[in-house]
Amino acid sequence: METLKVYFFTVLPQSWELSPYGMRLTLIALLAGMTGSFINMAMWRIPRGESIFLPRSHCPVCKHVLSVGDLLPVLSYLALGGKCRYCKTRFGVRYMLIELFLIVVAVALYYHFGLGATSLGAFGLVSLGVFTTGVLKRRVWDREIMKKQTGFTYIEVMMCLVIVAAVIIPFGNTFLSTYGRSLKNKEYVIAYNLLEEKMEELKLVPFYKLKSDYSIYAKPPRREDSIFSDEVIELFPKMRENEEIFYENFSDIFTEKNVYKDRVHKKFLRNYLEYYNREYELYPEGYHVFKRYTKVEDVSAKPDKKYEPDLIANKETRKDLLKVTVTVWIDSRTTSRKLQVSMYRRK
Amino acid sequence: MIELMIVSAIMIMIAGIVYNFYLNFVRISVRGTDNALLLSEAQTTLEVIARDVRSAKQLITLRPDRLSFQRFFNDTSGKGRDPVQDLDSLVMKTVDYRLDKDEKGYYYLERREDNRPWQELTTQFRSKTLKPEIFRGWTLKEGKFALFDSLRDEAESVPLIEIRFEVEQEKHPLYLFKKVFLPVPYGELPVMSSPVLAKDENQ
Repeated sequence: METLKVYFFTVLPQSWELSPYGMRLTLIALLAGMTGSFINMAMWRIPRGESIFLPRSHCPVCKHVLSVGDLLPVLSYLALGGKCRYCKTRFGVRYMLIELFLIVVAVALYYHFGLGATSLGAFGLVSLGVFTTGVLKRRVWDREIMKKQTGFTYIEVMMCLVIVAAVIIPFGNTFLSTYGRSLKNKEYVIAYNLLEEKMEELKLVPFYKLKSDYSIYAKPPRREDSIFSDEVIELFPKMRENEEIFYENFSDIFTEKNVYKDRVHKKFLRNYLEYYNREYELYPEGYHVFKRYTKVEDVSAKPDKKYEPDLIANKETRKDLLKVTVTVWIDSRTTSRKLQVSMYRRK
Repeated sequence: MIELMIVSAIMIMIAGIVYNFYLNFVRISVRGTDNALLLSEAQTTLEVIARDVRSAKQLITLRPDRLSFQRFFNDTSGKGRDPVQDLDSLVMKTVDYRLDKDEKGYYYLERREDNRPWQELTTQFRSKTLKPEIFRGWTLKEGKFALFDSLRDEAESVPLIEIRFEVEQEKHPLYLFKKVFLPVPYGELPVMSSPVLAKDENQ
């Protein structure tokens, strides 16, 4: 289910994912209501042999074209008391109930399955079901049609579509989930390789030189060596001063797509070279979805009161055991997950 | 008659749409499975080569499509050599890797020990669109790592090797790589001597 949701997002603009939750919910409710409104119109026109496209929405009694204010799902019905604004003809409550029903269904599907192919498919099925039920309810018309029937009716075609959709959706689910999972698997494998790569690099760094990324890039002993030292905008000043914010936003994996602006990146390259003795190389295309950082903690045993009184007096540790933790965070459209591995280095 | 034609047209249209959907789903599914298989084979191949390189004593050849090095093996011939008791008698073999291409245009990796015949890796990683630059290395010059140049540098001086698979694909190209340090940095292995046996000491 999650994979399908994820797959669907890959065809949507990124901004959809970033829109506030309430906004998205309102939009879904509005679209569902409009679908209900459309179904009401189709249920009225199709059995009468009228086109569903033209003429514009109008009152069936006085033929007055309806304005935007008269077409708002549920709200217009409530505001007008279920009557035509122009001729005051009363309409059945079922029009509003159909709109309301579809809104509730859409919101419930969104809550349960998120915005994805499953929700859309299920909503489509329910809408078709409502439409066919609504049309079949018109028994008189139906009987007339049955008497004259020489080919397929709209209803039969619609029923066929419902059956076909019911068959396609489960098939689609199966195939698409295979694809989505293979993409996820690839990301895990790459993340594992990135973890290993960093561990391999760190093995060659001498014990006394081991430092966290924060100490290498953001807060080195000399302020001017910080890659964010001259920065006053964006998140850079905060990343320099606050370790937590630094680790939330920093990554030592750069591709051409996510490289820092020139000045910061140059300093990053300089610090990297100084620490690892190797020129930094940009990672291949697509690696920008991985974030990686390294933390080094001093986990030495507490000094012994009897044998190391000096250390206790100076509030120092022995600093003979370090814990090196590398974290890779996959932050792609298909996955958001952290992988972590640690090693201990003894002096 | 006209109705029959219309109904047939509609049915053909619906069948076409359904068939198209079905084909697309199958295509996507097959692509997913193929990708997963390729990824799995590539990753296993990386691991196999990396494991081999980690046991290397020193490199002999390093080219984008060729890697050869000497590595230690435990002697399993049962001819009296026991690596625990006699470290000097560890068996040293030359291991070669090379990239080859079959008649259908698929690249694949082969391995051999000493001068035995080449054998395809059991992982069977094959691809037509594999970039034929697999191996590269770094030398250590004045405390800094620099990319190895086979014309200028000695392979013996390489402490760091990268194995890289770049497979071009229509969607989602595959880039996998692994950096491996030789077990003892800078190409030097400490001289290992046989432990002095108590019997010899007495003599």
